[in-house]
Amino acid sequence: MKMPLFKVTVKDSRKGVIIYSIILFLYAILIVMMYPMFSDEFSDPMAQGEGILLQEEGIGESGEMYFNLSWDARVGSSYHIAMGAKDPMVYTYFLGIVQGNETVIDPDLLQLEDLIDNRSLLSSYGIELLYLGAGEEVHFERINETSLFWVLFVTSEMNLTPVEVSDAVSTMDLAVTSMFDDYMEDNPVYEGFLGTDVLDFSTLEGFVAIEFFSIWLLFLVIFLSIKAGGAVAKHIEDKSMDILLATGYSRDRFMMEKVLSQIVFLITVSFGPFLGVVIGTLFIGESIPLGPYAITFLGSIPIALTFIGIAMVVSVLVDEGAKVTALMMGIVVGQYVVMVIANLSSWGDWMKYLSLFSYFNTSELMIDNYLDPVNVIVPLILFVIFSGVAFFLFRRKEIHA
Amino acid sequence: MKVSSPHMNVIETRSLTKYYGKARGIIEVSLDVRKGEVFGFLGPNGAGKSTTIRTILDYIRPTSGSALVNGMDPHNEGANVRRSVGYLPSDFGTYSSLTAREYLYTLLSMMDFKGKDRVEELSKRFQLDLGRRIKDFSRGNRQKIGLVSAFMHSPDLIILDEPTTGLDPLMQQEFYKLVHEEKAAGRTIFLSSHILVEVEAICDRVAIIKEGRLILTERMSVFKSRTGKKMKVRFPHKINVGPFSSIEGVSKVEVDPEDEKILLITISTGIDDVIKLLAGYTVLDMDYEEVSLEGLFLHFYEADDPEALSEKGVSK
Repeated sequence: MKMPLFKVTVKDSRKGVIIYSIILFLYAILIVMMYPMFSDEFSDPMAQGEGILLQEEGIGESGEMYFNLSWDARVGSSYHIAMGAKDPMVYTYFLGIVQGNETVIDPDLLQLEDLIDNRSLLSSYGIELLYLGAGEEVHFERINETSLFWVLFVTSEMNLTPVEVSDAVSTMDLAVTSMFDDYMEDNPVYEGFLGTDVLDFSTLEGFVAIEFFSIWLLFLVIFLSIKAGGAVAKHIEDKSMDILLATGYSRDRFMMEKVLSQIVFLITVSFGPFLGVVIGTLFIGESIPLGPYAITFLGSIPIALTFIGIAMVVSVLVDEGAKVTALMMGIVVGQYVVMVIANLSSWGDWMKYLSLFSYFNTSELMIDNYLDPVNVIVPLILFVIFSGVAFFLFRRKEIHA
Repeated sequence: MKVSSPHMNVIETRSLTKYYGKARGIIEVSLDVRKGEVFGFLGPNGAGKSTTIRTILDYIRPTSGSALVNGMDPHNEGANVRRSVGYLPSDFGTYSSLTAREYLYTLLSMMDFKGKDRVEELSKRFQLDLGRRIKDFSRGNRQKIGLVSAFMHSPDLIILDEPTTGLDPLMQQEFYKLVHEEKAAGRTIFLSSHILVEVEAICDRVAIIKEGRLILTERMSVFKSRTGKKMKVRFPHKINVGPFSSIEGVSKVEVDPEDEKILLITISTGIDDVIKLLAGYTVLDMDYEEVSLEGLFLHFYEADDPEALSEKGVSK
């Protein structure tokens, strides 16, 4: 079937669409190329030693800090004693004793049982006892500015000398890496868009998901809303509708070809940035996560279609291009704000059901490579409904001179 | 799709009425346009000419009444009605980024019409540069594109809304010639205009619309005999109107209210007798001009309040 109106619509808009696609292509490359600069700074906030890991768990209401210390059990060890100290010298001294390099001043220290019973003695050495048992992790609240933590691996004899001591891990390492948290706090929109899903900034996928895809859908939807908003309104406003319909085109056929041309714009505008993230990844020498990229772009199509449907309805109802654009911007930004509020507030979680943007789950797409059928079907149904309304309204529309 | 049954009237409207909310568009317009004629639809701006045309082409829907175009009801077969006619809107836009040729070929393609020869031929005739981008065109050249688009697929019925707007006099003449040729080829042309001379020059029949109502439909020959022209004669002193008003074929004689030495004589057929009578006077100056549309209304409806006639109605 020949589609001359479709062809001329695409031809008439091609420059703008291609330029926009190129801009997003360059933007995508730029973002991906920033990854190596950020990946170290934003690595997950944790301090690691050989078989031991310290993680920040969060900050309580009155500023108290919670941590998790976990370790791997060693062969022959039946008890694990987790300790902390403020002064690194304490750890060095302790290690010296165990390795036989230090003279034991206080023989009591060699008897673990006594040691554990006598916490004040430990305190006098600046040591804090965090855990004793067979487990492999401890959650604790930090007190007394303790900043260095280690684990003793004890055999059944409960004697200190055959004990192994782990590496010490320091909260100082956490202080450096917690820039990630600061960054997310400084940019609440990311969390607002991404929700509470944990994205790892230190991986390429996580970085691209946060830095590119969280904003990408907005760029796409704004452009398509303006384009589709002009599908009918533009021709009414510039009075070109008369001659187009004078050719004997039915109103349904007019709408059909207009909707099809919007889909071409959608594909064109998506292709540039898709190529951008791929080429950007190529530039930084990482292996290209083609699957995650592809599925995330794919996942943005259903919502983009819904917005096209909405814009077509507005385009039929409102005859002035500027008004259509203003109205569509209001709808898009409104939907975005609803999404952000839903994700940031503790009380408004239900609000996410009011936003189309919630049908685009960046972390699910990029990290899990999972495209939820609900996120495809619901926006597609909405697209069909809105398009149907647009067709219906256009059939009934009076086209004034 | 054209209905092949020999319908004598290619356009028929019956009590066609259109209100825009409470504002008047057209009221009870009943028109018959016969196959093969050039029909002039005359009225001042805002009288309802475009409203009538847009209603019969299904751009807008009537409040009441009905219409048939080429035997089809526009309300049910809007696309087919429009496909069966050539239409030039009074004011229109195009794809200004395209060249005139690209645009017209796109329209042909939308019409599913194959031949392109006529586009070239008509463009040559109207001196339209098909290779130029439409955005660089002047108002007149844009109007030519519209004209070509209405004629290029050789439709049997051509509806033209104010076709000569923006055309220079030379192109207007070319357009009149084209209308005559199309008529000779058996096609029907329905054109709206607010210019009396234009309608008189090319139409077989005329309908006059005023404030939404059709006030007259007449053969042009009859119409012409009733309209006449206005002669404005200046004498050295005041002249008695009596001898002039008694001439057969002079419909009205009056003294110019601003200058009592000027006589205004409206002549339908009695030009020869007027000139012979004038020969006996000293004449300082003389104008002889077409009656304006407003003048025509005054001529037909002396009793009407002249201000009411110039009132503009809803132009949409």
